[in-house]
Amino acid sequence: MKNLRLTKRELKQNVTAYSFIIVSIVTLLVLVYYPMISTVRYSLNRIGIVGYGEEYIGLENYKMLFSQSTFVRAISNTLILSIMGLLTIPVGFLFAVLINSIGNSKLQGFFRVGYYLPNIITGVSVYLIFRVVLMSDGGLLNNFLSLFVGRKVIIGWLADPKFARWGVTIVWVWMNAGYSMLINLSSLQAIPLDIYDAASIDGANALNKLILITIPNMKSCFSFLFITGMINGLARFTDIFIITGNDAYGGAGGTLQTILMYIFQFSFESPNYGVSSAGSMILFVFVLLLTMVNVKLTGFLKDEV
Amino acid sequence: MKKLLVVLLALTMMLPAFVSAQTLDPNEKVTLNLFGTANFVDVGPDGMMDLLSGVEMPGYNELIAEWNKLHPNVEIVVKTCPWDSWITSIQTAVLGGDVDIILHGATLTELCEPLDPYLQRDPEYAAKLFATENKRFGDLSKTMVAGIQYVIEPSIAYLDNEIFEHYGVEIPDASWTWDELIEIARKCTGTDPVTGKQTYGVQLCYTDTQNIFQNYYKLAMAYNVAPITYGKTPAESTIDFSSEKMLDVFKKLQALSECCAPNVREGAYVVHDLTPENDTAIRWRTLAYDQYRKIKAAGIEDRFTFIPLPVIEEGPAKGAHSTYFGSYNMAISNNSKNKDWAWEFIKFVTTEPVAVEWTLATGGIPNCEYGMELLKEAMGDKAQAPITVLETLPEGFCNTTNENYDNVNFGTFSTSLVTVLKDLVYGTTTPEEAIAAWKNATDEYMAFLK
Repeated sequence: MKNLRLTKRELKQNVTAYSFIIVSIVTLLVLVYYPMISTVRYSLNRIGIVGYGEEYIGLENYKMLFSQSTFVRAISNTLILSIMGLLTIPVGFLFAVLINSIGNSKLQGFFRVGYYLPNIITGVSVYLIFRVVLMSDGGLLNNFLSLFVGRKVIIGWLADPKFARWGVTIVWVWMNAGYSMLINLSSLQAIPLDIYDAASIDGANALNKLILITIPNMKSCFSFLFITGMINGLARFTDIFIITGNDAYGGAGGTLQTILMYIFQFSFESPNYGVSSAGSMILFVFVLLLTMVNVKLTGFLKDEV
Repeated sequence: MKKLLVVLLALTMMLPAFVSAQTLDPNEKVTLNLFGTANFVDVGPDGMMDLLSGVEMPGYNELIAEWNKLHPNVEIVVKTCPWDSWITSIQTAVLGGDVDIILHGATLTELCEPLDPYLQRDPEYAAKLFATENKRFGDLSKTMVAGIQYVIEPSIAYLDNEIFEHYGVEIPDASWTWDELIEIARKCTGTDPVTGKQTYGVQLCYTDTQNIFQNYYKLAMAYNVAPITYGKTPAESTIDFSSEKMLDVFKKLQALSECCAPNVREGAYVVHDLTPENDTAIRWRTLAYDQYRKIKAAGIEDRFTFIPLPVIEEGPAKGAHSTYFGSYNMAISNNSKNKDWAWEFIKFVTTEPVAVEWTLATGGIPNCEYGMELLKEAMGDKAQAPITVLETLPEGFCNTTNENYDNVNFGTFSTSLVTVLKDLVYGTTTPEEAIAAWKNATDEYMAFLK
């Protein structure tokens, strides 16, 4: 059996290499793993204020959370909003196809940058602008819709429980479609042109090529966008928090309260760190499970190998 | 023998007060660490200028300089934190162990030294104050003083004389009721008969923030809804949502919301200040002196009447005025090693004339009699509204942990109120549904406590 112990000589030889990684390891241990383990510990305790006494209560915080209809609603909101947020994939794909069809020219570069721009604008200013765009009375979107129906449209894109999820999805798609477009475009351009040429000789039209060549070749791209989109969607907080007026309670009958917003209210507004830590652990397990299922279903990692 | 024992016991009881009074040695070198938010973070060390009114506000260094004239041996070190996540910033700083006075810390009762013994020791000082931060912590069946406000901001009503006049409605006096207010709001909602512009009867306050609950609070106070019955612990307390009074309050809120501008109902881009473009007959909010300075700077001070909100019609506070306080307070950290000097500093800030003048210059209403004299000089007749509210304030009044509202002890009770009120004001729920949703969320949390 091979001896795994380092000899003094080997250690001396590798000391430079170890000195490079020791900073990262210590940083990881202190700033990532220690807080993570502390969160697990807090989630099993009743804690009003950290450092002012902890009372071990086992899984009571978890039981409490699952007994709260507001928490269950927050889970369901998060899931629904994550799925709705996946609209960025087809929208990004559509933009990518259109931009790709222009051909490799300066114009393509212009549109590529143009559609990616929302990604590099500060989120907060975008969210504040969208609060005006989505206002029910006199908002730009409603004014625009009024032109089509010939009468005043009043839809509470951020205030009416029936429409609020669509309202924040519009903002999410606007912000993220550019990124999706860029990833789609690079995948599109990686498909060998020979296949299209061969299909043309066989008499395939544009739609046939899209369905039979483009989409199957984009599978790994869609899988990547799907998995990262779901992970980002499950961790949604800032955009909804700001767009609903810095309100962690979610606005519109609570239809916009995500899990992170629920956790936030028990961390910063009516502090109960045991409950918020339990919420964080539930979110962690939730994201982990969903990612594993996604990876399995899409075969994402298999394709990468 | 018995008498001697009584005298001995009494002396023993007074000993701590005597000892603590003796601990303030004017030659002792002390550093008092202040941490938190309040107006210290707003004005900063060197002061600032209000962009709307053009009024310059002094920084906290001026206040400290005045303190050092009296107590050169006590150095004051101020560290402020921004309003974003101020609660966690304060908690972290206090845990660090180097905080003596928490600026605006009375909400964080677990960190606060109870100040009742200090006030009992100093009745002359206590008599000068209009209010103290009476909170329920530890044994919830009674209140304890967790901090002292040095700025006190009662909500009052601001009436637009022009809109009243155009609709031929008389300006009410301070004895008005909520029903009368609703009636006026209905009359003043519509197309202004003189200008032809759309006007609104009322603006519910802070519909764009969590402070929307203040609207409920004022009405609940007026009709003594009192759904909370306190026990010693949150688990032993009960909350009753079934009263007709509560339903009536929610119906009144619904009626008021129907007289609000659409953006106010939606809580989007709400203008809180009084401006020349004002289109609303009745508004209410805190910051009366600040509002006065702004309308004075805009030259429209004659257009508005300031009056107290309607009277409380039921309960032990009957005859006083519905209100809600904004405040800036100071609390003593319970792990401070300089509690007596910290108390001395709080007394200085709240009642020493130069400090009171500093408070008023920053735009806040000082929490003492001298402050009211200054306010009268500064605001003239318009000072009467906040002064009336303060003078008729119910004994032991506390905004945040009382029978009508508690944002400390019952978890989702306060947070779900915000959600249902926003829906009620926007019009996507009925009073009955709003109360049911509020009850449901609260019951679930209370079940966890038990």
